[in-house]
Amino acid sequence: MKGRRTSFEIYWEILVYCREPRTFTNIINRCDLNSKLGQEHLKFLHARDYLHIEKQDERTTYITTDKAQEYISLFSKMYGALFDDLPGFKL
Amino acid sequence: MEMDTRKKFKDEVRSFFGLTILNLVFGALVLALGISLATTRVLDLIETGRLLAMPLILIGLGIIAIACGFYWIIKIAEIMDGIDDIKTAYDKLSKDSDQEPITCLIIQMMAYYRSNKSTISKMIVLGRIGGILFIIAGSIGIISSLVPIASDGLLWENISQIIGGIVAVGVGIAGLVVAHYFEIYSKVWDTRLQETMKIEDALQQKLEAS
Repeated sequence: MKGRRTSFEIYWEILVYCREPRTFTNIINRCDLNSKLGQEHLKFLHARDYLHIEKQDERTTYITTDKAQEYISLFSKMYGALFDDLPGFKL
Repeated sequence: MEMDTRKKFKDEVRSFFGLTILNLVFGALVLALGISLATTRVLDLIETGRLLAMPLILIGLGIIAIACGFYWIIKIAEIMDGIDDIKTAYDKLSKDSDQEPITCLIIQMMAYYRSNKSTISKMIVLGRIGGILFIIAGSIGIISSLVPIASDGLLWENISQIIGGIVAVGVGIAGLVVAHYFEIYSKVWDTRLQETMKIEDALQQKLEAS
């Protein structure tokens, strides 16, 4: 992804992507993050019970919890509302 | 509501993409007219062997237009690259896809605004400067061809000079119009970026409550 995203936008992307169990590498590749930033965001979301960590053998996966759905819905609703006002012309 | 956002997003992306293409055409015209203006006056200068003020001014305007045209095309190509990625991603969405892929594209669009805000502002200023320069150059061309018409009558050379002047004025007006449309986008984008700050406050509260 090109351009600058805010932390809140990245949280939303991680939470939506982790509806299916995902590894750390999956997440940082898909959400275009470096390892340090990826760790920070996952730690933050886990601390708020938005992400559940599952460990199987050597493999650790992250899954979005039901609690995170409120954040996802609120975010989607508010970002959708940004397009209520249009430039007012059409080419 | 969902379809409404989707349609609005599609319309905006397509209109902005169209505007960037218009701007690219305008940039290319600025470059072409700059080259034409400078080279014809240089050839006149060589032919007559006299250094007159008016041709020198027009050569200067031509050189400025060439530099602006190059810069313009490079910058608009950067802008087009980003909006083309978003447009392509939108076109790949299936018609029955839910709200989330659209929200994902809205995030991409907001990131795009943040990254290109200063370039768009430069395009607005450049569009106005380019437009005004071409209106001046065109007006000079028209006036300087009207003077010999008054004394010597209507000649083919004067008519072509007038047409060239009218085209330059037209390009100048087009530049001002495109800059105006970019400004409309810029204002809407600024409002949205301010809105995202309010959204961030609400989301922060949500996260803190968790």
